[in-house]
Amino acid sequence: MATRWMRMFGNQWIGCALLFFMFIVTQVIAQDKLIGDEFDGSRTTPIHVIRLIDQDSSVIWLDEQPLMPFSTKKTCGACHNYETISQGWHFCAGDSATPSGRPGQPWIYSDPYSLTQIPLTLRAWPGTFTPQQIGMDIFDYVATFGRHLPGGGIAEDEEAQSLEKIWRWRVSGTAEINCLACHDAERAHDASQYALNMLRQNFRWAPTAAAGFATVRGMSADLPDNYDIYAGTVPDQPQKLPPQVTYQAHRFNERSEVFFDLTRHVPVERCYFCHSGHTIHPEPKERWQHGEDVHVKSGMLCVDCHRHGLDHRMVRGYEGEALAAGNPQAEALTCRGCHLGNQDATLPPMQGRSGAPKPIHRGIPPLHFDKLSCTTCHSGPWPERQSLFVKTSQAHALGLPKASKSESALPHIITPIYIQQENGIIAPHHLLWPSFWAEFEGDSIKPLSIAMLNTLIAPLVGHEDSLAVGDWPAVSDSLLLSILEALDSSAVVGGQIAYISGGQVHRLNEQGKLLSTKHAAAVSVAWPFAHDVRPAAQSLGIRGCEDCHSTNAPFYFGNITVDSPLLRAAPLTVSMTKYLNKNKAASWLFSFSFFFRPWLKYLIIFCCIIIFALITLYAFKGLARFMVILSIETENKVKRKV
Amino acid sequence: MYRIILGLIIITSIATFVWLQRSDRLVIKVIWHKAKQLFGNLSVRGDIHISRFFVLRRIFYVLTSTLFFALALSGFLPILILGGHLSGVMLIIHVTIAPFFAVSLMISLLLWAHFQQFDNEDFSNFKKYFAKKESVRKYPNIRISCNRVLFWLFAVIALPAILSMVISMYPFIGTEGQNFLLNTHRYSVLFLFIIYMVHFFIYFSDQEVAKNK
Repeated sequence: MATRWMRMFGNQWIGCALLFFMFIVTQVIAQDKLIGDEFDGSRTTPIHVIRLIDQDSSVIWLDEQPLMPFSTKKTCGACHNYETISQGWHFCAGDSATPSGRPGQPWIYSDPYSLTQIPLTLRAWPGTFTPQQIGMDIFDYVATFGRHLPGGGIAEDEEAQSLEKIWRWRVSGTAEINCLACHDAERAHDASQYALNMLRQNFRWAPTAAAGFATVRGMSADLPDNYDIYAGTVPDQPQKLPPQVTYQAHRFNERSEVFFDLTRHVPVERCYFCHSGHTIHPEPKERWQHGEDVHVKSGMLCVDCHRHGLDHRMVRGYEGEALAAGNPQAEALTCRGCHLGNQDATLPPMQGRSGAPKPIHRGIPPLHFDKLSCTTCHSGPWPERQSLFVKTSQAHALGLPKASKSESALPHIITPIYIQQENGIIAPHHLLWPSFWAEFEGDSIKPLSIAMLNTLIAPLVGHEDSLAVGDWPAVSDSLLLSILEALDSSAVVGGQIAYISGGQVHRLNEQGKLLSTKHAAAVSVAWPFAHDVRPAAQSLGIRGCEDCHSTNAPFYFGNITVDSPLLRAAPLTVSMTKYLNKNKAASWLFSFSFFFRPWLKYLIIFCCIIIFALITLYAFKGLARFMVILSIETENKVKRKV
Repeated sequence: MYRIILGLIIITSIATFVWLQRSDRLVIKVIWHKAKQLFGNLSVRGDIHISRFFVLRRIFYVLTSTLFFALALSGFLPILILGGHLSGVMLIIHVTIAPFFAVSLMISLLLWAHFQQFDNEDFSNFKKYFAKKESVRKYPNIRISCNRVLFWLFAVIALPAILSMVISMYPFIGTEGQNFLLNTHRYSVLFLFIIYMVHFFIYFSDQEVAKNK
């Protein structure tokens, strides 16, 4: 009976159990490794003719209404492990599990009306503040800086969303990782459309808007919190245009598939959208007069050095990253790694990647390679007596149609500043003098929220002429005094109000007079940069030691502008020696020695010639005497024998 | 590696100094007496004709020794304590003293060369010494011969020590060559230091004088 039962049901049950087990196993494996996650060895680029899938996991068909934007998480995530990719450096800000790494460029909230430029970041970098500290929640953070954020991470983390903005998130959607921001090789890809749509709070639509086969119109920012994205219109406010997608029908085939021109060899233009820098020279230069990174000009791509695996933990390329990020491969992708290689002969050679030439560095004492990073001599603008300003994509929203083209637009980032880092190595940095209003809590300070700035301070500053170009207004002592008095007497703020600017804290003393003191929170914030790399023929030291070691060399004695709207701070400058951690007098003395060093070298050579001549002369004399002694000895021996 | 060697040599020098002092071969009073002799006895010997060159020889001997000691101090100490390359204030001191040392050394060599040339006696001194016919204690003339050897060794090794740094200041040689020159400088200076210390011990250690004192 049992055998019969087994014959009837057993095999089927076992078969079902096996099938179920296999299904589970394949699902688990599928989650770990998707079809696009593993390299099969072929170096060709897979052709991506794929269906678009929206955030609700529905395939997008052109005849459906309303047409939804495609979701990168669902469309790209079908073949590539989205969770693994989310760990990438570009997406992990705010993730406490990821090390913050070497400080990079923070986001900068700047507003000339409230005299504010304050560095913000979700990473634990010194001197910076979190967006929350100035009353900016994650939604506002994404809406403000999302123009140059590739999405992902905190921009789609539901747990990070504040309850007050939960309905706004429903309208705007989350900002998924915009894979196309980097990997889309299509010429029609429009990153500025992505940026505009992020500013319009069209987070869900932004990647679609940038794609070359779709257009997005409308603005979520205009819509009420209770707007239903599937409704298509706002019943009460028909004049307001909700976000709408239009796809180019000819790009879809009969199976509703679209060709994506995707590449691993990310074009430089994609990186430039977020990572451009424009140095402001005293004498304005035309576009064609500006240089470009020597690597890029030689045909290399950013991703040739800034590589990563599926986890998108990009090699940033700084020395010590291998240890800091736990990625030994990073060592080979530094300047030294490529150009000089490893000193350990037991390891395979790693130098010369992409034909990187080995530098000769004629006449440069080896001490320099211990004390300076490669970028000190080879990167950024040539140092000038007075520090320069630089505009960057992330800080100045470059690349957007309405980006300010004024050279004095905030924030004021100063460059190149040569700073001795914690590891003792000097590297070029960009520098920002934070200017913000804060409330004193004991000895620590708490920045005022943006809402407070807009309501309390902006009306007091008024509309100066300079505000039109985005520059600081000139703030006199009397104006600062009146603002501080107004704020201190205001019941809105509990503690004493101070204005931090130009490296100092300005506040009222007990007599009601303006008091300016130094404070840890007022110090400048700096972050190293490495690009544009200049060719060897334009590097510091190419003209001789005097490029740096002369009494007026900008490297040592350049004047760094202390940026501030306050007239009392102008025209304050700081010497580069302060950041180099050098004594100015000793540096001057050392540089001065180079003035007469050539003559001393000639003198020493003269001395050496004399010493050599003397030694040679007496060596011959000694030889002659030795021969005489030998001959006497021989004669004596002969005589003794005789 | 260099730091270890340097440390060992300095420790050895100090140990030798202590050992010589404990065995009464090197007495501070004797060192002071001999140091004074360099200048002090000039006045005593007023009745004897002392040439200007005699005074100059002594002056430049002391000056060169002092400058060499200052160079060694400014060069060795930062490396010994901090490791790595010489930099900062010590580098400024080092490179400022260096040209004066080169000039002083050249003049010293010019002034002393004639007196330090080897003669028949040196040859027989060494011959006897190496044949173990006489011990150093019993045969003090060997000190003079030894000092002559050290004098010429110092002169010869000073050349690569100085030239290695001068050449590295010209844009002729690349990083590898620069490292080679730096090592040449470092190790030749180390040899110079050893020579200097041996000379110091030979010159100042004198058991007979010590006993009298």
